[in-house]
Amino acid sequence: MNKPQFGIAASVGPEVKIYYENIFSQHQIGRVTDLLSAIAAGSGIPIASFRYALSVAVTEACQNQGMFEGAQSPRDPVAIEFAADGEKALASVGFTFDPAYSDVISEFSDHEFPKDSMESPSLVKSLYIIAKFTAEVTLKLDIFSKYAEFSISFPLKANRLRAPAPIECVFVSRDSSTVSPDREYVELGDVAYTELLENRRSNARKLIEAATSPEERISAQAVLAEAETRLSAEDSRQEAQQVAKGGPQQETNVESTVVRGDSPAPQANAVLVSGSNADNNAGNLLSLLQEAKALAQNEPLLAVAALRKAHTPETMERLLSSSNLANEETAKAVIDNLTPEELAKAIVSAMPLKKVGEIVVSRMSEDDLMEAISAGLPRDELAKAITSALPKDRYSEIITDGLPPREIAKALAEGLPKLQFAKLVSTVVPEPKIAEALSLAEGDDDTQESKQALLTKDQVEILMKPETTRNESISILCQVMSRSAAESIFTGTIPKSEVTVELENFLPDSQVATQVASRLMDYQILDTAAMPNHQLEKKLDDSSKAVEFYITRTRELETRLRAAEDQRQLAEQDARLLKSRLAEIELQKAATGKTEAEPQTAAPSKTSIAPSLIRERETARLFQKRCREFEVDLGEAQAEIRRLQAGHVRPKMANFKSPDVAARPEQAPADASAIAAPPSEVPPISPDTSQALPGESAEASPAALRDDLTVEEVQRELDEETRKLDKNLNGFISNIEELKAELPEEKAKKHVDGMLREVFHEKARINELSRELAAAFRKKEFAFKTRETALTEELRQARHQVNQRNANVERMKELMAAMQQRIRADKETSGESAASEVQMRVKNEHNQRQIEALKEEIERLNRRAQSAPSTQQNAAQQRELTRAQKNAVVAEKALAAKKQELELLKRQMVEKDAREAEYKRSIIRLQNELTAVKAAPKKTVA
Amino acid sequence: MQFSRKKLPKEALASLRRVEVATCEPYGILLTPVYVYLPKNQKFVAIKAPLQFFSPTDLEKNRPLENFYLPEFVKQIIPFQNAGAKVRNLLTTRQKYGVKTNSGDLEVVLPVPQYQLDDAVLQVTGPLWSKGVQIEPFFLCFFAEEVCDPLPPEKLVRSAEENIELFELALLRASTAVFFALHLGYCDLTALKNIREQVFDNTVFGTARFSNQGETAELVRLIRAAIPSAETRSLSLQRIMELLHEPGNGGKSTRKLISRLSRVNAELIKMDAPAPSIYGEQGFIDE
Repeated sequence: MNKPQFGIAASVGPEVKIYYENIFSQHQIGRVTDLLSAIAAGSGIPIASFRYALSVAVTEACQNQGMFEGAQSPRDPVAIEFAADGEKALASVGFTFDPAYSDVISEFSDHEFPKDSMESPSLVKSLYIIAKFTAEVTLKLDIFSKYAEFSISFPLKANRLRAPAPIECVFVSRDSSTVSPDREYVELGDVAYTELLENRRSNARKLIEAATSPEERISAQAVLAEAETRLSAEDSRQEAQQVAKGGPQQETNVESTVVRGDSPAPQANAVLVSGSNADNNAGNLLSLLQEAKALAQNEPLLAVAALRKAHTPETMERLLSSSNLANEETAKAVIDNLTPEELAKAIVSAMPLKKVGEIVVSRMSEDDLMEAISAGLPRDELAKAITSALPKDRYSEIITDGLPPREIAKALAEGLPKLQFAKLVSTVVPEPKIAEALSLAEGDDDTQESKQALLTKDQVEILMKPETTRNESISILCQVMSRSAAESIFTGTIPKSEVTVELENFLPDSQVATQVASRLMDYQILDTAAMPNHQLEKKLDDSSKAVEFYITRTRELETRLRAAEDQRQLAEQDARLLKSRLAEIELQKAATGKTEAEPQTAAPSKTSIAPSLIRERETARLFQKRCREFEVDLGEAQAEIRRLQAGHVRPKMANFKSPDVAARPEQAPADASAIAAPPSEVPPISPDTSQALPGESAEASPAALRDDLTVEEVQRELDEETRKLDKNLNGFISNIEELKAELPEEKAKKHVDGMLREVFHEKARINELSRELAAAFRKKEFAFKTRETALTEELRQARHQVNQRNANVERMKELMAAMQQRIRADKETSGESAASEVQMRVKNEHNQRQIEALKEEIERLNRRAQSAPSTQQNAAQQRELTRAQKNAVVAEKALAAKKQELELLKRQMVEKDAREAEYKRSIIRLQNELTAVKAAPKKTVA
Repeated sequence: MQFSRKKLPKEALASLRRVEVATCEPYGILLTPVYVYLPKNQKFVAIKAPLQFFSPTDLEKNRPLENFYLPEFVKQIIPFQNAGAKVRNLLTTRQKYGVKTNSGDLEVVLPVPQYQLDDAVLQVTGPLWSKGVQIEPFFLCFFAEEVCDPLPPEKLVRSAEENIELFELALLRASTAVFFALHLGYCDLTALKNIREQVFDNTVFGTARFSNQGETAELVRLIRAAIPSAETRSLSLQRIMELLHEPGNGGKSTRKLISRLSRVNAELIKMDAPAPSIYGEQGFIDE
């Protein structure tokens, strides 16, 4: 025989499904038995009997578990199982009985069940009632675990009941539940309960038709009546969906009547169903549609309550966006009863922005709106709502007129609570108004922080100017943002993903963005965790880099522009100088060649050039200071000219005989000398003089730089260029000669101009080389500075090492001093111990003497004892002898202890000697190290 | 709890979430490793492991740092927390309505029908299972934390001081007990809290022994077998079916659980959704 087990799995076939449910409240009894009845309806069980018996069993179980009396929910559930196959239907109700509520069960001690009587406890009575409607009833018990179960077998139609079933009590062993037969369990939540319960109506009708007895007919009619009170399948489904989504807030649903199809249920039904399964049908009517109805029926307080309790945006939207607020009075009441924060939260979280704006604008007066904006409502959300709902000019007007200047100033300068609000204000409020606001705010006696955050007077003046553009205004406003404002904008108040978008939207002007970026850089929040996301970081980083690059590039271009301008001026001066030189050359050539006199018109013109030439040469000296290459070049040219003057070309010149020069041979030298001889204050332009011009510092001179740098390549290139120039100039001179000989004067001048352009070109190349030289110098200088820094660092480290070594030396000295002190202390201690050793020896000798004396005394006493006649005297002497012997033993023990102590002291002395030797060795070693350390820094410094 | 990546470079900022120290509550079970930023080192350094908690002293000490940083893994926990909140909401929902009786109008307050509640709870908890009916017990801690009240601070401190590994194991077992109990239809907050606390106490202190009979005792035995240590990686339908054949776990609780998980597998699991895990790149333990 199998051991009895809890549950019905062992009593049904393997293919049978076992339906089960766990309940924690007596309020679930009717609902669960109803659904189980619906499930059992097709199995052939008399449903009314089944439902009644099951209800009684579950109710009794709940009672024994203490659910009716207990204020708290039980720890364990009441477990209900049901299964039916073709032969039988079984149900079990398991529970953990609480001895406080079920003392009867605790007293069961055998299988004999008590008789039913008027005094019987409810458990006994209930089981007898159950037995009337079932085929078999068993009470299974595990007293140790305090677990019990009603196991009920129901008859099928074929086996109608004729007599009450016997009641059996079975004790289940403690380990019976560890193995359960393999059966399929189905939770009641997993069945299609909606359809099953809906089918009850038709099933009930069928039962009425099929009833063969009045009892069955009445039972079926009761089921039908219950089914009639149910919701439609659609309502049930809606409710199921609502529950599945997470359900409404606790106790949010209020219903005034039990209704079906909006009509009150019969009163009798209401009484009948209360506390039974049908009462949940009424609960199924809980819906927000009821509340919406209440709203529409001018029940403002209910509407307010509903709005306060509705916690999901969907619900809120349904409440607000339907026709509920169509009624003006209701809407007014809602607005009056909700606090501004609640209203804002409700409407903003529930509805599209445009809709919110429409509602707000249509329901609130402008005064209320302004009060709300300046006092309590979340500005950004409302601003968004308003901007979405109203045309621009309208909200511009509202904000401009309605918002006091101080509020605008606070919004812009003190904190910028939300980016959208700042955007709104800066978009719609005219700049003069903002400036006025800020100037007012500046003069206000506010906190130091807000003062700092406001504009300066200069900025206000700029804002007040009518010609100030909007971008400039925004730029200034961005500058007055406090750090907290900037951080809150870019980190706190805006979702990370929106930061970039907002930045672009709010700050369309790239310069403003750059300013903000640079300010953020100043706050160093890029380097900290306060940065909202890496995209913004990159964006700001890029923008700041772009700004830096732009500034550098602009400066570079300006420098180059100035340099080009200088070069152009210098080139013009050079051109003029060279022209004058050419004129000189011609004159000298004419003078030295003793040719015919030039035309009379030429002489005055050459004479008139002389003063300007002087001035130009003075200017040219400045150029010479900056560009040694060109001076070298020019010097070479002059050298060539002097060579020419010295007569290198005389043979050629001699062949040229001009009739004009020949006509006035004596006048030409005077003119030529007047032109050729330079003024006394102007030094001659020659390579020698150019290297040491008056007032020129050697450091600023390119030649000095080149001497310092010794850039061989550049020098080589310069030499080459110089040689090329030299060659060109030679060619130039010879060409001049030839041209003079061959071409008319006008043509020669044109050709000379062309040649001059070539000279200028060469000079430009030389300038380029000069720049390269300067760059090389800078590079060298940078390398020098780097090396200097490295050397300084090395020096610093060396000093640090020296300091460290000095500290080590000091420490070692201290260590040595401490060791010496210890050695001295040890020596003193050893001296003391030596003294004590002497004392010990003295004591020892004393003791030995005492012992000797005692021994002598003993011997003496023995001798006396031998000679003594009386017994009394013998006894006294014997006692004295014994005492003396005892004293001797004690003295010997003391002596031995002293000897041991002496040995110990000797060992200690030996150890101290060894330690002293060790200390001495350590001192010698430390002295060696000290010497080495003292020697080391000198090497490092050296 | 062991975890990898105890330090993170500065560049990890993009994937971290910032929490102000001032907003942190003491004695809340931590979802992830908690990092702080050390500007000198330019690194994020973990100061707390998952399943630990901050004491008021810890929070005060870290207040100058202003912010804590949590890895992106935290978003994997949110569905479990939301589900827990939903379940709690369901369990506390009461339907209040009036009835007209011969004694006048009465107000009746009833809970949601049990089977409807069971169904709704399973629809909330079912999608938390991953493909193959698997789930990692770590996540259930935060589900249970939402469903039940937080464990008392004294108990947390005492158990953590007693043995930190047992503390973590107890958290995992107690949370899984709540989760499985909901699957078995234990839709009652008081009962769930009792089960949680008893399993916790039983694991850490060895107290709160369960009786031999009844489904609760079976459930506890099953959880002990399913989560032998704090390193238990995951729970699955397959594992529970294996446990069915082990001594002590062949009771009807296990069979009922298998039956419900079969429904979860057939109807409620989102096959295309990625399985949340504490392992791998998205988690905090490198494989």
